[in-house]
Amino acid sequence: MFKIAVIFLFSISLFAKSCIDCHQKDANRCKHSIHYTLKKAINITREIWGVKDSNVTYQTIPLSKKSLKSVSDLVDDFLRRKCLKCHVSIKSSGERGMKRGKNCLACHTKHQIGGEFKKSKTPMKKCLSCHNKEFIGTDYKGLFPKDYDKSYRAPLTKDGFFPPQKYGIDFHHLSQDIHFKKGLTCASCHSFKDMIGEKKVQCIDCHKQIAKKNHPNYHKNISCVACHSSWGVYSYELSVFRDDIADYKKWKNLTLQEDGYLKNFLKRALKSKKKIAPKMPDWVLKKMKRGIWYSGYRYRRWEDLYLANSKDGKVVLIRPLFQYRISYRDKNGKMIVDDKSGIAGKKIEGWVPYYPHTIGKYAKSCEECHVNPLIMDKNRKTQGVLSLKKPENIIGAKSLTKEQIEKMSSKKYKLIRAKMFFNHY
Amino acid sequence: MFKALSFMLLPLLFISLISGLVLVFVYHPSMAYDTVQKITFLYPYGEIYRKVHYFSSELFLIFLLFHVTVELSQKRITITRSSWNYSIVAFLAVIFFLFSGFVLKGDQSANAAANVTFTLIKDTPFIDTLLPLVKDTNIITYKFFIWHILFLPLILYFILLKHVRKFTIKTEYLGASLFMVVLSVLFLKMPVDVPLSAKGANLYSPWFFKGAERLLSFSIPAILVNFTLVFPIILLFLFRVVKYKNIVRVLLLIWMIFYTWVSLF
Amino acid sequence: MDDILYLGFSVLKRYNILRYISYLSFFLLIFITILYYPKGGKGAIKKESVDQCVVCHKDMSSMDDAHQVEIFGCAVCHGGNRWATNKKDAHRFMVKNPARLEHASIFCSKCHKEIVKRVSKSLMNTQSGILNVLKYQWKESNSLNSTIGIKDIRKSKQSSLAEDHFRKMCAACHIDQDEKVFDKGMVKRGGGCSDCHRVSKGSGNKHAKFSTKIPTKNCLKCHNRSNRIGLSYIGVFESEGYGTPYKNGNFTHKMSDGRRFYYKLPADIHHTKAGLDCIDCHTEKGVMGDGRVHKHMEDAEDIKCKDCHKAKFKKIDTLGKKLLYLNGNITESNIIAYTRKFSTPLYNIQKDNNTTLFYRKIDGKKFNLKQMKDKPYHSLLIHKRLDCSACHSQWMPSCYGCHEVYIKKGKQFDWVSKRVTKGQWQEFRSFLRWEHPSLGIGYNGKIMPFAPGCQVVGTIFKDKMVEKFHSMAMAGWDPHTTQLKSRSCEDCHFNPASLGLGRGHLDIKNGKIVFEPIYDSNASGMPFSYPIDAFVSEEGKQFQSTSRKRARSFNKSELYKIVEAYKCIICHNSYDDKIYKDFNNSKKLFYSGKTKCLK
Repeated sequence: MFKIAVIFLFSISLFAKSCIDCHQKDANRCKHSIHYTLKKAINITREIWGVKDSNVTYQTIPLSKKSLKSVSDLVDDFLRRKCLKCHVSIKSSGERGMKRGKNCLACHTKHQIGGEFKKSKTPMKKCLSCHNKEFIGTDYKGLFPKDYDKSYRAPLTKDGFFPPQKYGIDFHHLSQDIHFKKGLTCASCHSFKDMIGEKKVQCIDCHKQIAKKNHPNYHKNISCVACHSSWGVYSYELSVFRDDIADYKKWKNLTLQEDGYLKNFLKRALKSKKKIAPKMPDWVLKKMKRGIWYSGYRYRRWEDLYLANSKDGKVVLIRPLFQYRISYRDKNGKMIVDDKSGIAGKKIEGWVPYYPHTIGKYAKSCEECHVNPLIMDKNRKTQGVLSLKKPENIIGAKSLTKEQIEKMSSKKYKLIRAKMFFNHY
Repeated sequence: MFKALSFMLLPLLFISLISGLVLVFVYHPSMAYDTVQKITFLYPYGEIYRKVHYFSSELFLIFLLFHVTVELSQKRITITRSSWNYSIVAFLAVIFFLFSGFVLKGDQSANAAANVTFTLIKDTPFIDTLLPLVKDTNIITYKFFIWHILFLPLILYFILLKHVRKFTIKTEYLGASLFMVVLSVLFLKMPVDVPLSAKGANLYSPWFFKGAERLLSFSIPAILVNFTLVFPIILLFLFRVVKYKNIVRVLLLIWMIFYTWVSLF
Repeated sequence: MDDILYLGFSVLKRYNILRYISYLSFFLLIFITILYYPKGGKGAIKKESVDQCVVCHKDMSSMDDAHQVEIFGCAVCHGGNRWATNKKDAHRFMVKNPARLEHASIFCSKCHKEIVKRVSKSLMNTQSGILNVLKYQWKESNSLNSTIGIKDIRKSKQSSLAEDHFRKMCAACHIDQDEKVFDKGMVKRGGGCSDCHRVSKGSGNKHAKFSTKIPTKNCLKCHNRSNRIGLSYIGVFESEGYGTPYKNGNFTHKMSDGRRFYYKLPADIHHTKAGLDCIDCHTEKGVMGDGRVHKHMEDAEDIKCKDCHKAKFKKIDTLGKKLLYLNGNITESNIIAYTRKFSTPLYNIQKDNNTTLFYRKIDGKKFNLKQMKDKPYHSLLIHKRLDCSACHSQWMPSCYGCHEVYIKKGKQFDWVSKRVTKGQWQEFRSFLRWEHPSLGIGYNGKIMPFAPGCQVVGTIFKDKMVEKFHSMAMAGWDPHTTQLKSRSCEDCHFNPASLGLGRGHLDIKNGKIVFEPIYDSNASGMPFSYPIDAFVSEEGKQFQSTSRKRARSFNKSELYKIVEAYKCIICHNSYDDKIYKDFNNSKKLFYSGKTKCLK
C-alpha cells in the first residue's frame, strides 16, 4: 500500500513538488543537463535547417508557425513530432521497449511503470528506452537497425511468425561490445556527473595502464574508439516528408519507420475503408496535430569509417548524423518544399564526432584506416549515391588535412607496418 | 415406290460432274489448299460451284445408300447376277470417289485422312504393294487427283453402263435433285477447311470413314480394319449366292450398327 | 409405303409439280448466284496479288526491310485464309503472334528452320539451368548434369517444393512465355522470337517492328533479377526499397515493375564510354544457342573479354560476309576477328594497320578498340589464375539472406501452367551490399567475383506444421560493372570481404590470420553459426556451397598465400616492381636475409 502511494506520488508531474522536496540540489542539476534541455540536438538540427544562431531548449522550443514556407519554418514541427518523443517527460511513444517513467522515474527506478523505487544503479533498459537504433546505446548490445521495407522482416521465428519489433524496428545482431559481454551496463561507466554534462567519462578513467603501455607516439592523439570500435551505425541521407493529405496506399510496405505511432496509424489507415485524416502527436505539447512525417534513408552501413580532427586536437571518428532531404505537402496538395537538400548552396547535412560503443577484442588492423579509400582517396568517384560517403559539413571537427593523409601513406608508415608483420608483434 | 429414289442418283451424279468440271480448271494438286481457297474466296461464284459439287456428291452417296437398302429388302431381285456384281464394284468406286474428293481438299483433315489410308494399305501384307497407286512421294493429293478426275470417272462410266444399261436422266428428277442441292447450298454449311499451319485444331474425316479411323486409333491392326471395311462388300456379294438371304441382311444390319457405334462413341 | 410414294410421285407427275419444282430450282439457282456475288462484302481485288489481307488492312506497314509486306503478304507468316475477304473466314486459324516458338516452328521455320530449332533448345527457352541448380541446391536432386526444362515439368501434375518455387517465382521469364498472362503494369515478357527481336510494338496500321539490332532494353525485360547483370551494366542497383528521395510527394527511382527501387551506381565502362548494347559483345550463337543442349549458362556463352581485347584476326568467311552485309552500317573488310570458343565471326571488329577498330552494331559508330596491354599486370605469372572480372569489376550486387516463405494453403499464379494454383511464396531478405565483392574460384577454374547465389533460409507452412530448411550458396559471375582501372592491391589482398571471410577485422598476428567477424548469424535468427557474408573461414573451411563442381572458396593455402603477399605489397605496391618477376625466388632471398628490406 505504501509502495503504491509512493509510486503514485512520484509519477505525477508535480515534479517540483515531490522529489525536489528532498533532492533539490540534484534536481536542479538535472534540470540544466542535456537530458532535460536536449540543447545540443535541437540547436544543431535547427541550424542545419537554416535557423541562424539557434539557442533554444526542449522547454523553449517555439511552436511551428501558422504558414510554413521554407525549411527553417518546418524544423520545429519536425523536432516536436519526430524527435522529441525521446525525453524524460514522455512516458511512451508507442514502440515496445521505449516506455519509461516520468521525469525522475525515467532513469531512477529499477522496474518500469508500476514498479517499486529501489536505490540502485540505473538498469540498462531505461537508458535504451531512448538511446537506441541510430543513437549510441543498442549498438552496445550488438543491435543494428534493419531497413524499413516489409521484405526485411525476416527471418521468421521457428513458429513461423514475424519477429517482434523492439524500439520500432527489427535488428541485425552484430558483434557486441566486449564490456557488455563481460557484464558491464551503461551505468557502470557513465556516472551521474557524466549524465548532467559536468564531466565526460573517458576510457582512461579505467584503462590507465593500457593507454600508456601499448600505444606508440604517432597514435597518441587518436581517440580510443577510432581503433578499438568494431563497427558503427552509418545511416546515409534521411529523406523526411511531411504530408498533410491522406495518401497512405504507397506506404503499405513501409509501415515500419522506427516510429511506433506511425506504424499503428498506417495499419489502421490502410485497413479502413473511410479516409482517415493524417494526424500525428506533437510530443512536447502532447496534442495531435495535422500532418504526418514520413521518413526513409538511402542506405545504411556498419562497416564504413571516416576520420576527422576534433576541436580538442584529437583524431576522432565521424558519422553522418544529420543528412536531410526535406519535403512538405500542404493540405491542398501543393508541394511547398519539394526534396530540398541544400540551403544557400550548402547541403543540409552535418557530420558529428562519433564514439560507437562496439569495442572489440582486438583493435582494428592498420589497413582499415591507412588503406581505406573512404579516408585516403579524396579523388575517388563520388557521383550519385557515392557522394553521400564524402563528409562535407563536419560539426565540431575538421576533416583530415592533406599532410595528415600523406603521413598515413608515407614510407615511414609502410616500414613500421611491414616490420610489424615480420617481427611477430 | 422407293424405286423412285434410284432415279435421283444419275441426276445428282450429273450435277456433280458438271460442277466438278468447272472446278478442275482452277484446281491444281500441287497447290491443293491454296487453289481450293482461291476457288472459295477469290474467284466469282467459286464458292457456289464448290458447294454444289460437295452437296451433290454427298446427296448422291446418301441416296445410294438408300438405294442399296431398298434393293436389299426386296423380296425378289430383278437384275442379273453380273449386274449385281457390277453394282457392288460401282459402290466401291463411289466410296473411293468421294474419299478422293475429300483428300483433294488439301487441308489438314484431308492430309490426315490420306495418311490414314496410307497406313491402312502399308500395314497390310499383300495389299501394301499397291501403295504407290495412292501415295505420291512429293504431293499428297497428286495420285488421288488422277483417280478422281481420270480413272474413277472412266471406271464408273463403264461399270454403271453394265449396271443400268442406259443412262436416262428424267427431267423431273433432275429438277428435284437440283432443288435439293440448291436448298443445301442455301441452308447448310460446308465443314471448315483447316489450314496446314493450324496447331491443335480439331481434325475431322469423311463421315463414312470415321469408323475406320477410330478403329485404328484404338490400335487395332490394319488388317482387321481393312477386314471390317471389306466385310459388308463380301456380304453383298454373298447375298446373291446364299439361300437364306435374311442371314446376310441381319449380318449387314449388325455390321452397320457396329460401324455406326464405333464412329460415334 | 411404296404406294404412298408412288402415289406421291404420280400426283407430282399429274400436276406437273415436278416440272414446277424444276423451274423453281432454276430460279433459285439464279437467286443464289446473285446472293453469292460478290463474296466477302468488300469486293475482292481483281489483280492477282500476294494475298487478300490488304483489302481490309490497307497501308499495313512492313515488319522490317527483310520481310516487306508487298513481297511476303501477310498470310505466309500469320496463317489464316489469304483469299477470304470477310473477317470470320479470313481470321480463322490466324495466329496473332507467329513468333511464339510453337508457331515459329511452322511459320518462321519456312525460311529460318535451323534458327528456330536452335532457339527452342537454348537455355533462355528451357530455363533448365535455373531449374536444375535450384533442385540441386534444395537437395531434390544430386546431379548438376540434368537438362530438364520447362517443357518437361509442364505436364507433371504434382510439383516438388523446388519445382513449385520455380513455377511461381522464376518461370515468368522465358522466351516462349505468353505475353497475355502479364497484368497491366507488369513488364510483358515472352513472345518467342519477338521477345528479343521486336523493337517497337505495333498499333493500327503499323506493324510491330523487328530488327537484328536489338537494344539493351529488350534484354533488360528479363535480365534484371537473379544476378542483376542487365541492371548492373547500365549502372542501376536494386536498392533497399526506401523509395527515397521523395520528389513531388512520391517515391522516386522506381523500377518498371512498380515494386522495386534502385539507385544509380557507376555503370559498366562499355556502356558509359561507348554506349554499347548487349549485342555488341554477345554473339548470335552464344545467345540463340548453338544447337546443343547445355547445362549451364557459361557452356552456352560464346564471347570472352579476350575475343575483343586480344582479338584474333582471320579472313572473313561467308557467314561473316552475310552478317556484315545485313547490318548495313559497317564498312566491309576482308579481315575480321573471330571468337575463340565457337569461331563465330565478330564482323564488327576490324583492323586498320595496327589499330583495332570496333564498330557499334546499332549505328556503325567507330571506336578504337584498346587491346589488352602486354604489361606486367596482365602478364605476371602470379596473377595467371585471375579472370578479367576479378580485378576489373567495380561492384557486384550482393543480396544476403533470401528468406523464402511457403504457405501451402495460399494461392499464387503459376507461370508454367498459366493459372493460379495452390501454394504461395513470399520472399524476404537480410541486407544488400555492392561494395567489395568477394572472390573465389569460379566455374572456369579462375578467380572471379562471388556473391550470394542463393542463400535460402526457408520456412514452410504446411497445415499446422512449420518446417524450416536452409541452403546457403555463393555463386561466381562477371557482374558487368567493368572499369578501366583495376581494384587496388589491398582491396583484394587484405580486405576480408574480398577474401571471402566476410565483413570484419583482419590482421596477421604471429604469422596467423586473425579474423573477427561483425555479423552474428545465430543471434540474428539464422540456423547456422557462421556470419552470413562469410564464404570461408580463416582456416580455409568453406561455409557455403556453390552450384558448380569446380567453383569453391579459397582454401587455407590460397588464403595464406594471398595475405602473405600483402606483406610485400605494403612497400612494393607496383606491378613493375622487379621482385614480382620471380616472386618465389624473391621470397626466398628475403627470408634468407639477402635483401635490403626492413632495414
